[in-house]
Amino acid sequence: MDLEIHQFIPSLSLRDAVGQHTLALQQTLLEAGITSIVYADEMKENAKDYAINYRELPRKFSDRRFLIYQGSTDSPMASFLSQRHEPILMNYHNITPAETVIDWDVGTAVALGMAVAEISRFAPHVALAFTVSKFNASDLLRLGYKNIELAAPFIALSETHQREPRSITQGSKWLFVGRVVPNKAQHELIKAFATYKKIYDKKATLQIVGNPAQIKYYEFLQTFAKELEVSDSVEFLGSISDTELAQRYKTSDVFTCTSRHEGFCFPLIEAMRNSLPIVAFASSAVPDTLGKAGALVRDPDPLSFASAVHLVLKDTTLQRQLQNGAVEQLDRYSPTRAKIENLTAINKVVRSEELSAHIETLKNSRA
Amino acid sequence: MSTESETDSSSIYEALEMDIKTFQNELYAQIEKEVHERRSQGEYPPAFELAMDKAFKRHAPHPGEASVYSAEHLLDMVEATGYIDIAVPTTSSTPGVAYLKLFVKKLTAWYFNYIAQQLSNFVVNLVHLLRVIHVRLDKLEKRVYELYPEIIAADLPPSLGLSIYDLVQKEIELTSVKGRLLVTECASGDALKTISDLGLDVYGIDHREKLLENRNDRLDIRWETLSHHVESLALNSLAAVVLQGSFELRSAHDKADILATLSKAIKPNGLLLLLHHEPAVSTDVLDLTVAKELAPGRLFSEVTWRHMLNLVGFQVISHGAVPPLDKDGVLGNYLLARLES
Repeated sequence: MDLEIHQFIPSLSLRDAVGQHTLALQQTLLEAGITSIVYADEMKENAKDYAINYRELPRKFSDRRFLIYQGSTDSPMASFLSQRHEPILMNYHNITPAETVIDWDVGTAVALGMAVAEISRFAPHVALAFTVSKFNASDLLRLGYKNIELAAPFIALSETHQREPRSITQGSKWLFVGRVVPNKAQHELIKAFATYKKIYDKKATLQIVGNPAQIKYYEFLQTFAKELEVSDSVEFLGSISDTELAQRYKTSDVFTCTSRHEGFCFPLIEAMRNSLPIVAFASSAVPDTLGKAGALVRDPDPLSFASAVHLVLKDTTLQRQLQNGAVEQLDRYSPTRAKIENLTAINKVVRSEELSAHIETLKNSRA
Repeated sequence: MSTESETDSSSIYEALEMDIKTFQNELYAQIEKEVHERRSQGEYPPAFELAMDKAFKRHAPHPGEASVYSAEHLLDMVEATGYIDIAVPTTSSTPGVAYLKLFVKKLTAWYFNYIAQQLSNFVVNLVHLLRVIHVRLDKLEKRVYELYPEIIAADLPPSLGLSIYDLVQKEIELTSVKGRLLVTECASGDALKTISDLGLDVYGIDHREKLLENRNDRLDIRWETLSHHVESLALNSLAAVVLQGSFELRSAHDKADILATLSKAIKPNGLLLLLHHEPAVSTDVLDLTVAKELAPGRLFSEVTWRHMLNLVGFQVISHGAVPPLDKDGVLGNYLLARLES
C-alpha cells in the first residue's frame, strides 16, 4: 500500500502565507512519490480546486497514513484529528498573543486565547511538531509540545528587482508590508517616521501596505498620522495586487518594520529578494529571520529607529554589506532547503526508506 | 531537536549565531553613537517625543474602552444563539424517511417546545445578569483609569526626595559606564543634568505630568510610568539604571517584578543604583506618615533590598547614605549593585 501523508488546514487561501506553504509542501510530498491530499474546513477564492472537506478523510485506519495539521487558529479539525489513530504531526505557524489586541478588539482577543488553548490541548496527540523559527519553537515548548523540529518555510517566489546601493539623504521612500493590526505596531513606525522627517529628511514618504484587518486600529493610525502632521507623507495603501506590490518593492529605498510580534515575517524575505536595505525592531522572530540583511534596533525609542534608517540610507558600503547578508539569509530559506528540512522533519515520524533516499537525492542536487 | 535554552523567547537575540550577533552589535554601536550626537546637539527635543506620546494616548483606546463595543457584541451573540430552534429539518434522500422524520417531529414537538422555552428563558436572564455586571465593570475600569495617574503620583511625598549630586561625583563606577543610563522618576531633571554634565548618555522618565512642565528642554525626559517603560525595554539595552522614587512604596510583588525586568534590560556587568529609605524613617514628617499609610506597599530595610537584588543576579558593590533634596526632607540610603555576567 502506498505511503499517504495528508495535510489539514482550517482555512485554505491561495493568497496567504500558510495556504501557499501548505500547497508547496503538498507538491514536495507528491514529488517524493507520496500520496498527499489537502483537507480544509474553509476554502477561500479558488482554493476549492486544491482541497477537499476534512470530513471526507476515509474512516478506515491505515498504518501507512500520516496526518499533518497546519496549526494557525482554532478549528473543529483539531478535535476531529485527536480522535484519529494515525500518527499526527503539527506544522505550527504561530498565534498572535491576545494581550496585543485586547485594548482594540476584545472579540478577537478572546478568539486568539481560545486558539492558544486549543493548540495546547492538542499537544498530547502530536508525535512531532515542526515550525519555521526558534521563536515559534519556544511558543510550542510553552504550550506543552516536546518533540520539536525547525524547518524552513516554503516562500512563494514573486517578481523581484535588483537594486544598486545608493546614498539617499533627501526624499527617501519607506515601505512596510503586513496586515494593519496592533501587534504589527504601525503606530511605532509612524512615530519613527515623524522623527526622521523632523531631523533628517523633510521630503521622506512612508508607504503602509496591508489588509486593514482591525478597522478601529486602521482609523486610529490615520488620525495619529494627522495629529503628528505627517498625513501628507504617509500612504495607507490597503491590500494591493501582486504587480503593484512588486512595483512598491522596486521603487522604495528602505524596508522598515517596527512589529512587536512575528512568527517569521515573510515580507523581510521579500525585501531581501529585492535587495532593499532593512531596518527592523528586534522583537520575536525578526532577529532570526533578518540575520545580517538589515539593522536591528533594540531600543523602542523612535529616535533610535530613525537614526538607524539614516545610517543605512546614507552609507552605500553598509548597504552592500546588508545585500551580502541577504544573499546568505536567502540561501537559508531556499526552496530546496525548505524541501529537505520539511521532509527530514516529517521522516522522523514516518521513518520511510524511500523518503530518506529522496532527501539524499535533494541534498546531492544542492551540493 | 531544538533545546529549551535555544528556544526561550527572552534569549532570541542572544541565541543568534555569533557572527550575526557581532555584526548587529557593531551596527547598533553606530546607531547609539548617532542617537547620542543628535540628542546632545538638541536636534531631538524631548518635548517632541512627549507630544507624540500624548497624541497616542489621546487617540488610542483606554483600557476597557474596546470592551464596551466588543463585550456588547459578544453578549448579543450569546443572546441570539440562546433561542433554540425546534424546527428540525425533515428532508431526506431516502424515500419514506422524510415522512418518518415529520411524524417524529410532530409527535415530540410539544416536549421539545417546552424544554426550548425554558432554556431560552434561562439564557435571556443570564445575559441580562452579564450585561449588568459588564456595565458596572466598565464604569469601574474607566474610573480606575482616570484615577491611576493620581494614585501613583500621590504616593511619593517631597520629603522622600533625595539628592544624588554628591553620590554621582563619589561613585567612580557609575561615572565610567559605557552606554545609556536611565533615571526613574527624574521630575524636572536636576539629577539628570548632574549625570549629563559628566558626559554620560542619560535619559529619564516620570509619570507626573505636572512636574514635567518645568523640565529642562535640553534633557531627554519622557512622560511614562515605570512599569510601562521597563516592560518596553529591549534586552541588554541599558548600561545603568538609577532607580528611585515611589517605587519603594509599591507592593513587594511590584518591586520584585520591576527588578527582574530591569535585570534583563541591563547589560551584563551593568549597574543599578537603588535609592531607598529605611522603614524606621522619621514619622515626625506629616506628608511622610500619610504616604506610608496610604501606600500599597511598605518601605524595605537594606537587608531585604540586598536579598531581592541577589535573587535577580545583582551583587551589591557599595552602599551609604544620601542627603535629602530639601532641608525638611529625610535622609535616605543607596545601594550600588552590579549585574553578574
